[in-house]
Amino acid sequence: MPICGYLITPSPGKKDAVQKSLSSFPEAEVYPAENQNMLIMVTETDSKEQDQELEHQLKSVENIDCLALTFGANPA
Amino acid sequence: MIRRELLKAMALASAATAASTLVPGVAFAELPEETNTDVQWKKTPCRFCGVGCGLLVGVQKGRAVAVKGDPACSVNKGLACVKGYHSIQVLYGNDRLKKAYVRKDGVMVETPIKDALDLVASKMKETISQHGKDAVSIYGSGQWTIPDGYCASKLFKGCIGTNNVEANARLCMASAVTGFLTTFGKDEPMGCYEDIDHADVFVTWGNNMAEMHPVLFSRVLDRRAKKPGVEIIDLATRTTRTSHAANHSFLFKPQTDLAVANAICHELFEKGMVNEEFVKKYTAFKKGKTNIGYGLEDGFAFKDKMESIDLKEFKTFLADYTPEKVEVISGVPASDIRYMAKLFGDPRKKVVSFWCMGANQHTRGTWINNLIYNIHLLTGKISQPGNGPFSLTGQPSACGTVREVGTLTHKLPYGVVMKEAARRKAAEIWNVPYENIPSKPTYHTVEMFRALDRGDIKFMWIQVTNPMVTMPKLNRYRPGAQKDGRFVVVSDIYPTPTTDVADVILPSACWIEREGMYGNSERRTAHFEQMLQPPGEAMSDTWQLIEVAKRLGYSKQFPYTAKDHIEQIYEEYRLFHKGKTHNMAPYEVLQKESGVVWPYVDGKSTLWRYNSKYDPACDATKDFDFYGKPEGKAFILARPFEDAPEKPDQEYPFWLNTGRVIEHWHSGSMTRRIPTLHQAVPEAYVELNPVDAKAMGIKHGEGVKLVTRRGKIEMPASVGGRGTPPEGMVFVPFFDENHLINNLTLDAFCPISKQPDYKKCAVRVEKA
Repeated sequence: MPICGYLITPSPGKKDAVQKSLSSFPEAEVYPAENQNMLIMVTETDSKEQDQELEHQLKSVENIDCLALTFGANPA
Repeated sequence: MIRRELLKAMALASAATAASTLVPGVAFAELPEETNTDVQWKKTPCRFCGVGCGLLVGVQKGRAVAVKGDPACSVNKGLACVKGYHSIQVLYGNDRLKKAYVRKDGVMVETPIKDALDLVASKMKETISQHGKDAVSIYGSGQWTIPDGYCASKLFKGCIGTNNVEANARLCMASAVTGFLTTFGKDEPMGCYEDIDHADVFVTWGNNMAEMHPVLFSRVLDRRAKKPGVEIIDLATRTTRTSHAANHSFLFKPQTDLAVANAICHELFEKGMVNEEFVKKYTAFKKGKTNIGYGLEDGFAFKDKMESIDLKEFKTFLADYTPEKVEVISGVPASDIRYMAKLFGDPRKKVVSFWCMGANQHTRGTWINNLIYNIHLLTGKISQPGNGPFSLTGQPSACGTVREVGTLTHKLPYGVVMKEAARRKAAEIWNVPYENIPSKPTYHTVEMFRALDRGDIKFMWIQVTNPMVTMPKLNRYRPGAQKDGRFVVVSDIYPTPTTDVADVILPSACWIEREGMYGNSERRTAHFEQMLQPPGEAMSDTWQLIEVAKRLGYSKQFPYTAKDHIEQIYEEYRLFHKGKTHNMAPYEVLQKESGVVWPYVDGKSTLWRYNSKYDPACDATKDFDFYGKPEGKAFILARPFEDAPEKPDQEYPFWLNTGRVIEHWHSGSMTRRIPTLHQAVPEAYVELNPVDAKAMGIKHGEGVKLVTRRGKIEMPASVGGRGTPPEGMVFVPFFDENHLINNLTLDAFCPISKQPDYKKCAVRVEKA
């Protein structure tokens, strides 16, 4: 049941689009910054494999300048 | 919380923390409450000087717990000075005023604020009824927020009908105002701080910028570090930290900066370094009256008269100011004067001049401002990135409130009381009869305190300033305020020597305990929200004025609601400045931005005025348009060197110079309550030149007695400290209420600006 935290910097002017794309993943909760071009996201998956698959899919989301993993845990 | 939820909260907190590390101030409003970091960061301009640094204040459980520079603010780009970093501690001094006090049988008695406000209003009514409306007055400061000053002006000028409105900014930047008005016809600098990022040469005119404007000076040093060949010239009367950091330190004898500036102009002509095309197209030569006096007597009056002169007459005027002649007057070697002229005259170099109190607190303050402009106008080095004269200010809203709102006896929020159109505009916006606003100014600050002493003024309301520390010649004005038949109301956050003379003390909300706006030196208006609850019954100065206005029967003019009054007042005030030359940003823009520079036109700040590339108010067919003056031509003014009114003599053989230190701001009533700053400089001292100290047998730390024609004082000596006066001069910082140096200073002032000169009087120095 892995849980991860991410900090995302969208391409300029693409914050809303990136938020929409990321929010389409059922495993993700996305929070936009009010006053900066930034998003934070928490993901919760059922297994390590599913987490790896999600990570792979995240990398293919368009208009992301930077995706930083800030937290990871894999509770039993 | 079960473990899974806790881990999710940690994941969110880690991402939020990473975000705020990268971009301080980033806010995620939608985060679940438990994952938001405890500390909320909110933007505000700094409470202290006129630089207007953007700060982020961390608020936790209703208390300000941390502060840092705001990287989103272009003023300071994330930096702050030692005062800024400690600024929130000013909210939490042990002796903070939380209740109102009323003097009863000579003793201050705690009183509900509602009753104290009733008393203030009834005393005003009684005084007006018995002695006329010009017997009441208000004295504020450049620490007034924009809404504070606006309500004070509206109440006194518009509703009551007296021009008895002044502010302590008269003591610190009035000469800058009259300098701008006489040369350009419009107040405030044409450039902005971004000039620092483009300049090749910086000249500080009597301005210890390293201590007084440290964040800006750090930007100057950064520019020099990054661009080879950048130079700093410190032109001053005393060696300071700025002098040590400069490439060249040139010392002139007090008051002779007038001669030095004229000598630079002489040399520009002599060596063919004048920008003739610029001068021909965009300037006009003028002269004013000479031998204009010093204002030492009550009721002193002066009115300047401008006359046109031609280039030949101007050159003839300059003939008295050859570098060699001025070397004799000023002590600055002719070769150094020529060196400065060469820097100003080199078309490949961009030059910024900075000045503050050294030029402004000067019995010829308007003139020295004019003369610095002359140099920039003759070389065409003005209103362009990296080229410009830049008058700095000392208080957070000396520009935004006192100059722009117009809280001086002759001013209105737009224009002056002497102009019918300005009075009509104010009357219309204020919803008062036009006849209410008197057409004649009454008392400037020095004359206002003289009137209180004489008894012509019976009631004075003092807000957010400490004149019983900062007025010159206090040995007259303190007893004057305490005479029978005077009623003094003081609104402040701490007890001070000014609350000591009060009949009513009103506890004020401080800075971020209320909402407001300040305006800094570069025409930047910055908003701060209310982040904290004020202690006890403390109330904002704005709301105190509104409460009293309502009690005086002016509810119709003060209909503002408690929740939105700052927005309502600001939007009303903005009506005065509509148009391309001074448009202010809307309230909602101020809420979002870390300050906005006016004129704000079509959603954009105007960073360089009078240059048609940047300023939409200019005639677009010209490169430059000084639209405050006829035909868009700025005045180059012939202003001579005239000596100080009181010079060292046999009885009083030293110059007395006063000023500040980096740790303390203004009269010290706030910074002396910040333990770190107070411990750094716990008391005032007398700076002596080591040669003078040795001759008198005075060692560092030993007692020194200073005596002038107005009073005497004893303080410890500082020899070999951070500043060194030349032989024959002593310097004393004025922040220390236990060593009131202003008991000794002279109340001579510039006859045009009415700003006193705190930098020059004669003093005797003795070993105590």
